[in-house]
Amino acid sequence: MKKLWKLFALLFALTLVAAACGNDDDTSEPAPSEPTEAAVPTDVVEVDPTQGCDKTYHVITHGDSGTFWSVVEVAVRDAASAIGCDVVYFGSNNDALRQSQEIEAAIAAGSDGIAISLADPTGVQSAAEAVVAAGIPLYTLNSGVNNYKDLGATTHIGQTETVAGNGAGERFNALGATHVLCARQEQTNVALEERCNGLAETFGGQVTSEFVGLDANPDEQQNTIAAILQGDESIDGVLGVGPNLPLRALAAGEQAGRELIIGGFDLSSDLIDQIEAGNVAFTVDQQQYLQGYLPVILMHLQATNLNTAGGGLPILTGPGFVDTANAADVKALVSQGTR
Amino acid sequence: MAEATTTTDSADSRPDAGDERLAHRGPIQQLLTRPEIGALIGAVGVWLLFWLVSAPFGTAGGTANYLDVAATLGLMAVPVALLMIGGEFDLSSGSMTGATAVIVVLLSSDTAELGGAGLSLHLAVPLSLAFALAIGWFNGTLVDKTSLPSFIVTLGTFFILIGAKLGFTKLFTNRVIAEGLDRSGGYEFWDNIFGATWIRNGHVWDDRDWAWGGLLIIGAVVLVLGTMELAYARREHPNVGGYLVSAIGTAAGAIGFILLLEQDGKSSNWIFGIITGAGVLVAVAGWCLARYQRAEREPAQSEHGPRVVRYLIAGLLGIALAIVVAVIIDSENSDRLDFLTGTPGRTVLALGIGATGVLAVLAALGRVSVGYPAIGAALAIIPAISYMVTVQGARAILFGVLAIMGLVLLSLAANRRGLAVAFTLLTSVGIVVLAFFIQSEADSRKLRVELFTALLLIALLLAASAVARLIAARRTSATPAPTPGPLSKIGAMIGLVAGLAFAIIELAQGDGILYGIITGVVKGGIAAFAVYAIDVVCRTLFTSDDSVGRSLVFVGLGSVMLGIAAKLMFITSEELAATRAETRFGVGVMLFLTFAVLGAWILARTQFGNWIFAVGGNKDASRSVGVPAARTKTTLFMLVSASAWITGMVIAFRLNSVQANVGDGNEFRYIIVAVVGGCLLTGGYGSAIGAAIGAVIWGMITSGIGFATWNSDWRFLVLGALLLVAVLVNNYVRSQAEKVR
Amino acid sequence: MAEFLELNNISKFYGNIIALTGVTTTVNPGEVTCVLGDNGAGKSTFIKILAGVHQHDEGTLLMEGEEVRFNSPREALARGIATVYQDLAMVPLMSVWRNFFLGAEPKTGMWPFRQIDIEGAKRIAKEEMAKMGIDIRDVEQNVGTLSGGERQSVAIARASYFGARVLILDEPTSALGVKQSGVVLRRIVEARDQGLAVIFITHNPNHAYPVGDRFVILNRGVSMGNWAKEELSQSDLTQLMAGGAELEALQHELAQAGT
Repeated sequence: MKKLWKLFALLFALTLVAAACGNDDDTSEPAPSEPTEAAVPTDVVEVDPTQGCDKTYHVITHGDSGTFWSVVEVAVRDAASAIGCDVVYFGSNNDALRQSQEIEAAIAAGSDGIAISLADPTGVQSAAEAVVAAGIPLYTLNSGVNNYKDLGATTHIGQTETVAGNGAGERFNALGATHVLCARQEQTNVALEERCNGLAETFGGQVTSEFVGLDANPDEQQNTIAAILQGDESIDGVLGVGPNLPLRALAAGEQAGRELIIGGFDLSSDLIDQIEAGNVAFTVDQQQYLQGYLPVILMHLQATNLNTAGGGLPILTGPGFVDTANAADVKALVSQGTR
Repeated sequence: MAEATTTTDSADSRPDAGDERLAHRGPIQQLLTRPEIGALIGAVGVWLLFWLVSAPFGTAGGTANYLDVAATLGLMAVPVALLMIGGEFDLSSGSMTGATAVIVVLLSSDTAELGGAGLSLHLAVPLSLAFALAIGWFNGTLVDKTSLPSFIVTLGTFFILIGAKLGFTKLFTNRVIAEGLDRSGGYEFWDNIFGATWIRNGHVWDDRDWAWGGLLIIGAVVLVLGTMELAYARREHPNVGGYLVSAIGTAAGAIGFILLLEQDGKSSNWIFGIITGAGVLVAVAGWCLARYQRAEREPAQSEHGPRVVRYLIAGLLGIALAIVVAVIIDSENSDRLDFLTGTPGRTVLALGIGATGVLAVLAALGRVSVGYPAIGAALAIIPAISYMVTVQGARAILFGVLAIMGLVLLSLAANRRGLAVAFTLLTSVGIVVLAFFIQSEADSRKLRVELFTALLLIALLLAASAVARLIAARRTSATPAPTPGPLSKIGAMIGLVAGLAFAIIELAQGDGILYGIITGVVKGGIAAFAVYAIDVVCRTLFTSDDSVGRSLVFVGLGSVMLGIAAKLMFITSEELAATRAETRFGVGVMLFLTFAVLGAWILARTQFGNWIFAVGGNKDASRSVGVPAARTKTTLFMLVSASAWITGMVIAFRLNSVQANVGDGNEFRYIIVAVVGGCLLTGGYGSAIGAAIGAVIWGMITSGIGFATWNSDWRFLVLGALLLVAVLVNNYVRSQAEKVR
Repeated sequence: MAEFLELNNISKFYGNIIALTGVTTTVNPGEVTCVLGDNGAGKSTFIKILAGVHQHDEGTLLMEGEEVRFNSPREALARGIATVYQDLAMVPLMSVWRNFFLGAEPKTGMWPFRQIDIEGAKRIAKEEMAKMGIDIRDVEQNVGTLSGGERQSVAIARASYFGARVLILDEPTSALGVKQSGVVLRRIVEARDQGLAVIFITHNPNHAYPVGDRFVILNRGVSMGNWAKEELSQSDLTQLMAGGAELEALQHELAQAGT
């Protein structure tokens, strides 16, 4: 009996761990499907009210505490001090329920503008509709380009993954690759798949899209890429759809004795170093600073000046590219935390 | 595997005075009752599968690749297996690996630019070890003091570590990656230790193939001799005539083999092949006549008659089908077998899923046997697998399943008493036919040459075992302990001195401390092993000592391993010209292998190992006889976190920058791998070697899917299926082996 | 002459609950002292005092004439008092020889290579058990595959090998069948003949009487007395154990009900 109980307890514990591990990915901004217990409430950005702004805005995302969202948070803070109003930032860590609750709380608090990310459009739908019903300006950011109109948001500020992938495909065309491996660090992330699909749309050669291991297992990523390279001699380019994979691909190419054209997604200072050194050709930057900054400014303009931007179309923040030409300049900005 | 041979039965000094109630278990049966047997069979199966399917997998570069994946896993899986045997879990072990890495980087990286603490690595590295040990101690003490289940306590530690890693990294660096290890003070020194990578492409040795081939053949011969020593009863006075026959047979075999290598022509191949085979059989027969007691005729067991015939027919059929499949495998071809996108495939899938459901309901109602839903599931899985694997992959799987099924059925038939010899001979003839068929018909060069040779060797071994069984009487008692001869002690001394010398030479050449130490240990070990081998062989030939069986098995296994190592660690200039890939072994691989051997030794041979089994099996009992249970468990927790530290250092010095989530979630893998290796979730039973093999299986699958250019979406399906198979095989084989007992 | 082990009016209280009062008996080498009592009679408290798990509150415990008090199981063990508990004696998944030497493994070799002397341990285990008349089939066998009687036998052999002078057996026969109990009783006799002082705790007078030299009967924590074998017959023992008068009353009752 005792052992049986132990086993059950173990299973329970493992499930908990699984739930916790499922989402600790720091680089992908669009939402993985499961919610977690451990939502991380993020800092409330308080701005000195003495500047005379009586408006309060809310930015409520599904973001976690990774590199990507910390830039968004910095942008929100910068925008808040630029307009001199209170802006509350909250990242629900992929928990749609928490996100909805925060949105409702913001309505109740009499917010003057709410910007949300739509990682799980159905999950936050009712809350978002309540925002519009309450007459509060609604903006969507990061993910939600397909749904923002239905919910009645003024506009969407973000990048579509497919467009970003398209851009990468054109880069590879220009660099003369013939067969590109689209290496993914997650197996079931729609956004990463979209990037690879976007690559396949515009790239002239062959695209092989494979999951090569989680960011939690960097050695496995490197060895798997090396194995794929050795298994298929025709691959001459690798697109890593995160900031770590291009670095792993670089090591794997060395291991397999191959000259590769390597592209990446998002930024890290190691990656920029390699771009500067010419080992990595480029990285796709979705310029998420804009996704934090612009909504705050736009909400403020709508609340104070009745401006509506976008004209019914989304405002795209990317793809921007970092390559040898601008790597040195971007590098300084990355360490500031704004790129 | 050497571990398996050390556990023998009762210590009786006379060969025939065994306990007649106890059927003596030969070396093979003993191996089958080991916990790691399932993993071992699984590893061989997985290796064969990917070797058949992918060209680069079997090369040294491929081996280095999957061993590298296995290493970071196995470095943790071995201590985690020890902890599980001790009855506890450590869910914080995965994030602990990342935590130590993050700590070292944060402590050492530059204060101004990177937000680190700017300490020298000479301080930061020991500090992170101290941190790891403290967490291990904390886990162990808390589990002991509160009597809470360890997975609850370590779940707490797990979350704390994840949170702390992220929190501190962001606090210090403002980002989630800690960077700049390579710019820290003392980097060179520590990178020599944890970041060492040995690229073997520089080590060209054109006679390598002779060396490893020779070692393999010698090892196999010694292994067979040792197994025979363990299995058969010795005569009191050897029959000199038998030795003569054996010598003649050996000579004939050797000459036949040399001529086989020299000549090139179909008919001469046949002739010399037969001469070699016959020579080996005569040598075995002579050896048995000279050395072992004559066998009495085993009584036939008629009640198994019809089943034996059925097994026999089904087995031969399996082999025959395997032949057909093997013929069409072509490892150069990587066409995708996409059966799922068409209507027929989807129909089969739907039917399979439906059938599984219906049959499962029927099974639940007790209408059909529980096995039937599995048939439905198999039906559903076939199109799924077809989508993932290439055409050749599917063929290889089919070949493997059929060939293994055929051989298992044949061996089941052969195990029926009285007919064993005849059936074994029949099986070996069947395998020879299979081999020649493949050689003449198969598309793939790899199969035509390598598989052909391997099959012939297997057939020869089987035939030899049949001959030996015909002649020699089985032992009824076990072998007593080998008493090390004087040469073995001299060997140990030589090994020590040689090891030191080599280490000093390597150090003087400036190849790094760890590299020097490891090379020294390895070379010294080889020197000691050589002396020991000579001693064992001398004792076998010139004394009437009855204890040499296990020493011979040990020497044989050692030679085989040395052979394999030689193949992996050196490259011929021909290969160098052909390959672009580097064969690189990180320090992790060396540490991993060391851990596996050390873990096995601790478990089987030391007092601490005994205590691990005891506290896991029955904590109260062990405490009441004076085992310090709390200390044992705490030591185990600290062992796990110390290993996490080593793993973390290997990762940190490889990447120079560490993302805060590195290692999170890996604790599952460690536990899974340990279970595959034969550990019980409830504690008290398991194996360190098994866990290491489990890690290698995991590595082979993750890398192998890449090498074979299979679709990675299905990776976890393969992984899951193979893990399940390994565990089931483990269970089945062990229950069968226990039955024999 | 002083007795080997002498208990005078030993009592134990848990708070205000009286667990054991007034136990007086002697234990000598080559003798079996049986402690009988029904469930809750205080037998386990008695064992725990002797084994050093608990300490007595009143009375004196003399070993070879010297007053002693065991503060831990280790102290009792060091004095040569070995206790074989009924259910927690063995690790079922470990082999016989590993269980035999558990906690006191013989070692060989120089320090970093120090390991268990496996061959020696196996040999000694087999020899020692043969000495006790136990013919174990295979010392490499898991204890879990042994029968209950064989397990007790291994535990007894282990205790006697590790220099026990007093062997306490806690209900060794209670979970066993008739035949297995016989095996264990024979072990007890053999241990006695080897010069050990044996304390045999049981609730079965049929098991106690044939092997015992001296009997202590406990009832609800109170010692009913201390007899040498000559002083009472087996039926006396049975009666005393069941609480004498109570059993007589029960017999009357049953007889009346019958008529």
